Amino acid sequence: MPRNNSQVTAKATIAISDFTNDARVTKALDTLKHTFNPDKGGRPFIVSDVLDDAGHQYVNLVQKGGGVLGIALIGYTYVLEQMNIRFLRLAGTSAGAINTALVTVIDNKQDPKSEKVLDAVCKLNFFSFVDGHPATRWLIKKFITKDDFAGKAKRSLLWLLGTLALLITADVVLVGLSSHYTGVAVWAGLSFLLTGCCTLLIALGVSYVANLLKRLKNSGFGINPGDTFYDWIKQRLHENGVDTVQQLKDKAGACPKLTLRVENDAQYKALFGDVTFITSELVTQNKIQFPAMCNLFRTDINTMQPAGFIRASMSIPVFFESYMIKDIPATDPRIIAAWKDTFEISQPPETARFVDGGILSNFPLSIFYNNDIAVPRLPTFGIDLDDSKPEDKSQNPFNWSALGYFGRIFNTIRNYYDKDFLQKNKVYQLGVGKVDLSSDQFNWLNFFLSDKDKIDMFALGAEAACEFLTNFSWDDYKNQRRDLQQQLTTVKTPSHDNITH
Amino acid sequence: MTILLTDAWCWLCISMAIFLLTAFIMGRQSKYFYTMDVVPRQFSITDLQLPSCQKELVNLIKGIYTMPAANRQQTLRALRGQLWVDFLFMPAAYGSIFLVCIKVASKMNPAGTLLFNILAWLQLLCWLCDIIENIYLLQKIGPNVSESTKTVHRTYQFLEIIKWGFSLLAIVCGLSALLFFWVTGNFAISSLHYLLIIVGEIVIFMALQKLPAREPSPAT
Repeated sequence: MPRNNSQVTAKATIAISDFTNDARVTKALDTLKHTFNPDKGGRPFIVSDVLDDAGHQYVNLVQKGGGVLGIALIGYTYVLEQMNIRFLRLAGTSAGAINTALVTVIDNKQDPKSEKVLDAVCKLNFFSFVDGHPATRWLIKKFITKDDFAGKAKRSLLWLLGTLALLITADVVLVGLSSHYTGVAVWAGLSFLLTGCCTLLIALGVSYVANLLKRLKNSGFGINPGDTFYDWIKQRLHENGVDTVQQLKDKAGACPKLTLRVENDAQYKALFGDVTFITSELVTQNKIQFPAMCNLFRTDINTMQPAGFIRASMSIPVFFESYMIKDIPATDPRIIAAWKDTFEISQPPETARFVDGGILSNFPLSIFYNNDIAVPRLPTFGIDLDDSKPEDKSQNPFNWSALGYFGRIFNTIRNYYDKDFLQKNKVYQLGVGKVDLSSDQFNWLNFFLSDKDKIDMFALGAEAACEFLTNFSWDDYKNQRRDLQQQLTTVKTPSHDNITH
Repeated sequence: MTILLTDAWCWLCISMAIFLLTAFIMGRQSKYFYTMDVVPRQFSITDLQLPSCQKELVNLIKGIYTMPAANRQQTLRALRGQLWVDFLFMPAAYGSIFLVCIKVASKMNPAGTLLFNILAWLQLLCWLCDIIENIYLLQKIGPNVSESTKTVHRTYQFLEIIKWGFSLLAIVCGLSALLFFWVTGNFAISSLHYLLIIVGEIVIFMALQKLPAREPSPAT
């Protein structure tokens, strides 16, 4: 059931022009236009060999996940679009999946979309996505927005327990004194009442926390149901004519007439548009690519709601409830065959449970590796969001907190899959631009972003895109990619990793 | 009122017995509360009483109707049954709190008497809130349940806060005062007999809790 729209949309206090006319953004664009203006001594702007009739250059685009930091992705894609770059194939995880979905469904492939994505973001009340129990909403808000909230909460609890201890002592002392001084009896009675009230407060607090923990368990260990986000993204897809999986595929695949700047042996083979959202499936423990793997869950893919793919991709574990696909026709031969072909699983699950794709592949560049192409016709661009703080990068292995220690373990595991691909296929690193969001100003879970924070993130994305395009060389990329392919084809026993990617 | 005050302990024993008996029945009924939340999961009456938002209450009730027929019937029968038994539970529970507060008020100084008399009579308000809550839930439970307006939901939450707030405050204050009187030796010896009866009732109640209950239908 759709949530009241007013809860999700907020009165826009900032306009699109506040982002696009920001001095840092205009400066970045001016720099690019000057750098790539051959009439003024600049070099020609070539990033791809795939063009449309209007002269747009096409690239594949991968957007990394990063919670609310995803606004920087819009700044990055805005600059790419302003430089007449368009996106043929798109992929993203989590926040990257949200931006990927919007860029896919808005207008046509040859149209710029970032301003319309910005429009949706300007009207969005981010906190509405935190749709859990009021107490947890309050706690999350305080934890994120208040400095040292955990310390203050701990001190308040100690203060309450101290008061209780003091009152119990007063009860004993005053009862003792009341046998000698009758006037003290009133104070002793009052002290008993206060002790009772203090105990009640503590008991209520404990039972409330116990209840919240029970709810957390019942809801599949997710604090927020994520229904508000689901309704919001479903509405955005619907507004752009996407209600079914087929409509999503059609929209992602619809391309204008494409031409090649230079001859290529592959010609136009497999030169098509598509979209991929990455999510992690916990029942069978696999990485799932939607919509390509829809046939694992339904015999008729149009009975699935495409908004669910993005909801599944952004299900930050614990923060959001898992996204479920239930009633999978697990005995249907087509479903069994699909699972067997894809994962060698002969007994498909009846219910699939998804969490954020970022736990397996937050930056899924590997899905655009095409082993059949000797010389690339277009590059794969990736937008990397780097929010690691100085302490995260510290190489001192001794002064970590318990949280920091477990955080390092988790990050080592979750980043390795993507890192491994980039290490073995370094050419893809040439297409990656990094947005530096390591400032303390930004927190990937801060759903209370100020307008300034949003504009700053957008500007950082724009500046990162400017820096990336200035340094990017399509010839280098193409040559290195060709060399890599030659190495692979000449080696008699190629490494397993390069083949599988 | 005079009879109540004269035989307050006696009435308290009776109301506590009814309170514990109905609590036992309701506890048994709650073992059959299941809703479909992707998978069947157990819920309690407090999930219905204190939902985080309008949608949660609706989802919970709708979840009952998406259960297999046998489980759905079992849950609906138990849930409606508990809400009806609750009408018996209420006078016993709020009556017990009322009696404790009235009894304590009679032993207090003027300010204390006023405080505990107010707490005692506020139990009527709690009872009224509980009745409204039960009627609201009984009419909500149905296959075509719709989301209440924000105002209705806020009013419902307000009733819950009044009910739980005043009853818990009265219980805590009443028990604290009784403890004070017992600690200071300011009590009638005869009241100890009633205390023993109440303790006996609680022991029986706890023993009954150990009795095995009929298992819910296998599908759940």
